[in-house]
Amino acid sequence: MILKKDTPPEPASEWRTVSLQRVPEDVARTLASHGLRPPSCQICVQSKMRLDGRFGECWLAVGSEQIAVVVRNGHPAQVAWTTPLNHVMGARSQSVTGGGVLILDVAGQPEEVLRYDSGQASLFGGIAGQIDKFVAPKREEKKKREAAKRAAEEGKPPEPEAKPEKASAPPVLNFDELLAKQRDLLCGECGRAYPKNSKVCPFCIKRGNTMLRILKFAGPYKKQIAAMGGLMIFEMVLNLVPPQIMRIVVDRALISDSRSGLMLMMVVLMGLVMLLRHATGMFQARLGVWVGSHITTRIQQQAFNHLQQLSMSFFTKHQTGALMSRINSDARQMQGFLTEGIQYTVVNILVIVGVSATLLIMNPFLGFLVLVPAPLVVIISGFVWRYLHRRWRLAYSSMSAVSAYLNDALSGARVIKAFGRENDEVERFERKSGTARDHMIDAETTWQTVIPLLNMVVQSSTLLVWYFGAFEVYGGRLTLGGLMAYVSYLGMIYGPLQLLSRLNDWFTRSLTAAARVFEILDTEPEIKDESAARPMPNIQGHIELKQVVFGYEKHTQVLKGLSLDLKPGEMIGLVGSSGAGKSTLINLIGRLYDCDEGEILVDGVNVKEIRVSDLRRQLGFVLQDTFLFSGTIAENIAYARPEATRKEVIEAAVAANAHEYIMKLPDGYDTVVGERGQRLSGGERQRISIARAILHNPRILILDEATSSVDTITEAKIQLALSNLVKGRTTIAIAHRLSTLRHADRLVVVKDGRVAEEGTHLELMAKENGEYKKLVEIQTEWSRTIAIGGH
Amino acid sequence: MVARPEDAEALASGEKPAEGKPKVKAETVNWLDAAKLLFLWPGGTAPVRMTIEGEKSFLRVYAAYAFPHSDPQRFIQFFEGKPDGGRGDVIGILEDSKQLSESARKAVEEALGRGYVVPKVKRIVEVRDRRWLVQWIVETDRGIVEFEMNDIYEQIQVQLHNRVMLIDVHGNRYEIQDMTKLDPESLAFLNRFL
Ligand SMILES: Nc1ncnc2c1ncn2[C@@H]1O[C@H](COP(=O)(O)OP(=O)(O)OP(=O)(O)O)[C@@H](O)[C@H]1O
Ligand SMILES: [Mg+2]
Repeated sequence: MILKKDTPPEPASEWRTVSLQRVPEDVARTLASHGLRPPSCQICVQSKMRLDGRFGECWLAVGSEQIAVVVRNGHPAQVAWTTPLNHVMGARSQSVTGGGVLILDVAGQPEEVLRYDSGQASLFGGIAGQIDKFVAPKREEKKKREAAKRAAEEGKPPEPEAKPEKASAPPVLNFDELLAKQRDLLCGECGRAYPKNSKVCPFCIKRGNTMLRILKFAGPYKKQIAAMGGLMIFEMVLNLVPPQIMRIVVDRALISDSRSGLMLMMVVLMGLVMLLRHATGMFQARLGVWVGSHITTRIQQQAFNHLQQLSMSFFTKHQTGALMSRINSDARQMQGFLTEGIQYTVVNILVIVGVSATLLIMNPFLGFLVLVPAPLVVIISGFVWRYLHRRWRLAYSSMSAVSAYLNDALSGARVIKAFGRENDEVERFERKSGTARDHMIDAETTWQTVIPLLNMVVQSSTLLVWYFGAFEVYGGRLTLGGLMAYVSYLGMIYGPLQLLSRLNDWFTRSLTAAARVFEILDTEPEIKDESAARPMPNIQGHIELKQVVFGYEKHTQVLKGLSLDLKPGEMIGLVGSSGAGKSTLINLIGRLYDCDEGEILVDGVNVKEIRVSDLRRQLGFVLQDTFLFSGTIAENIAYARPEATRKEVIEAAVAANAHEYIMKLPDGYDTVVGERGQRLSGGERQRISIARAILHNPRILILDEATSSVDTITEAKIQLALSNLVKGRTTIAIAHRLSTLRHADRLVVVKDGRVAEEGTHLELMAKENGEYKKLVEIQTEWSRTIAIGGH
Repeated sequence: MVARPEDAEALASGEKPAEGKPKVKAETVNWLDAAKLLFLWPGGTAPVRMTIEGEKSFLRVYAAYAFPHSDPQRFIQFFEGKPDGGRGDVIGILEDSKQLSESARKAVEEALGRGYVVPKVKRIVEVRDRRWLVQWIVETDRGIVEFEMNDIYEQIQVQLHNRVMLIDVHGNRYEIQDMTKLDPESLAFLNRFL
């Protein structure tokens, strides 16, 4: 048992734990009394749940000699459970509804040690994995000893060592990597766990940074945006002019008919200002549309481009609908913020400052009277806004629930019809849209009630101006025109003041949208070329898997140390029960995912070092779930090689036995297959995807249930065609119908994430109680056609 | 592959498969009779022992709930425990735990249901509305807990009989069994979102 030798030079008090967690004083003391203290204590983390399922504080500490669980519930910390590490024979995490249990095998007895909630499942699953890996050699040894003992008791000669395991280094107990990975799941700022499937911490959306990044999107359009800003300011200044004209009209022009010349001048001036204002407004709006559309598209293009680079795991974890809304509405929200938000903000602040200054200069007393309550207006409208906002939020989310439902129901039309559930679906839709309607009405009516009230309160300061202004006029400190101008200036300031209170909210919303878009842009593709990725334009097709371990979720392994060696040009058949990990295996070879442990070599080079584009170009997939793009049959066949000639397309279709039925279609190869190829039968779709792989002409061909949906005769025909295609190519064929694999050089049975058996049909059939033999016998029994392997 | 019916019959009658040949067995359900079940549980974290009277005894059993969220009282499946703590063979399904004796039900619910049962909210202590996040502090039958939501429409689900499910950002669930029975203060908190 070797423990991590060179622990990093940490101060003795530094516990290894996840961020936001501090090992409390009393827990540390209690652990220390059991010999658990850093640095020999490798990890000490807290669960929010006690073993009896109640909420509480539970600390798990794993040290080089001892494991302990400490509970702390208001009382001083107490050790709830502890055992020396060398009594532990295994560790596993059992996921249960709403969380999981850590189970340790202590000298042959499973003991439930700790419970945790869903948010912590990956942490404790990882810990269990590390402990288990560490104790595995010990367990194996014990098993061997017991087997030997049993053999000795039964008087059998001790079994010869089957295969002396390669002397691999003994595992090391070390959680650093796990903790580092955990750190990625926590917000870097506040240390809280991110929401499920997201990397945006709602607690601390980084306003400053996000803001700067949003601005960058506007970069190429700086000039236009500056022009827009200039126009806005110009318009604002123009808006200040009419009240002044009005003042002159009332005070000077209207007092006698001898001033009609001045009056005419004023009217002309007014007309000019009006013209200018509308012209400015028009230019500004036109520019706005132009800049806005450019920015939206730019964001969308960047996001889509980045999405295409991302690995499969990203797509399985995120809902398509959610991603679509990020690309669509979030981008639009960001654009709104950039083109209007920022400028409105600037202009509104300018209006407030400009108008306030004018008011104060025109009459300091009145100015003081109306401006002192201004902050109050901001605060009150802030309250009102928050009150309304909650209703809007409900209304919007119920509306998006309606559209999500619509999406579901429309794509599931076939199932709805098949089960005659139309009326129930209508009812469901009515319920949902009814809720949305009620929320909407609630929000709107509240809005329509509250806003006029608010306006009334705010505008009541006009009354003050009228009343006190009159005294100013009586006293000769203000002219009549001055008072009228005053009142119209006052009217200009209400809007911006109310808006000021909403700015914060508006910013937040835009920044959240932006953060979601940036989340996509910031997601590192898990699978990408190393800087020194090797170009491999000519792959021979030698594939080797060495002790491959992989799980879609890190706490449940699907492949558990699978090894396999394929010679160039060899065809192997993969069989095994549903869920055994066959498709997973080929996903790894195609590097749709990367394995967690072990390695996959193609021509002796680790796939992680091969340039991804080279690898994929020479791999041909016929996937289990055939996907066709909406487009024509020809486009779908030529998907991977759009430059292929029509002749090549036809030849590929012929090889896939698809040509005959394609030609029966009135539009032939130009037939549009409909969304996801829905207009074709399952077998027809499969044959198109085979043609697609044939045309791709890969060195390595992967057929995952490629002919599962076609009839036996068609399959036989495709098999014949494929047998030509397969020649000289490394081929992995997966099939449940074993007769499909009759051309395979070798058959590999996958069971429980490992290779259970491999060999030719005859070899495997010769095995007493073999897995393959069982499969064959069952199938033979059920179909009574003995045709496998041609024997 | 579609088997002809006569094949299935032949198999079912056990006529065709010769000795030693593998048999295909369809999944079956063993519905357990509550009256015949005995549970032994000393308490704490000790394993639960289960006996089907007149049939068999299991030293360590585990349970799984078929409808852990929508109907946790019923359809409880029992597994034999494997030595490594894993779930072994299925013993059978109990339709309703209410049919069990008091002590047996306690063993099933307390010991086997520990991690499974969704905490039941007794009182909402506080709700803080923070822009795009709602923070909750609630008192449940399993103690006081604090959690967050980021999408209230999805994460507050009103079900039949005034039952409300609260779901936090990590997917943990908290159940309000009957919202009309909450105290007025808690109800006011909840009503903000309904
Ligand atoms: N994207 C995924 N995320 C999480 N788990 C997955 C994912 N895809 C598959 N699994 C799980 O991995 C296991 C192996 O799946 P895989 O698709 O490799 O099985 P298979 O051998 O191809 O089965 P079949 O014969 O039914 O196609 C299954 O338990 C499955 O539930
Ligand atoms: Mg598969």
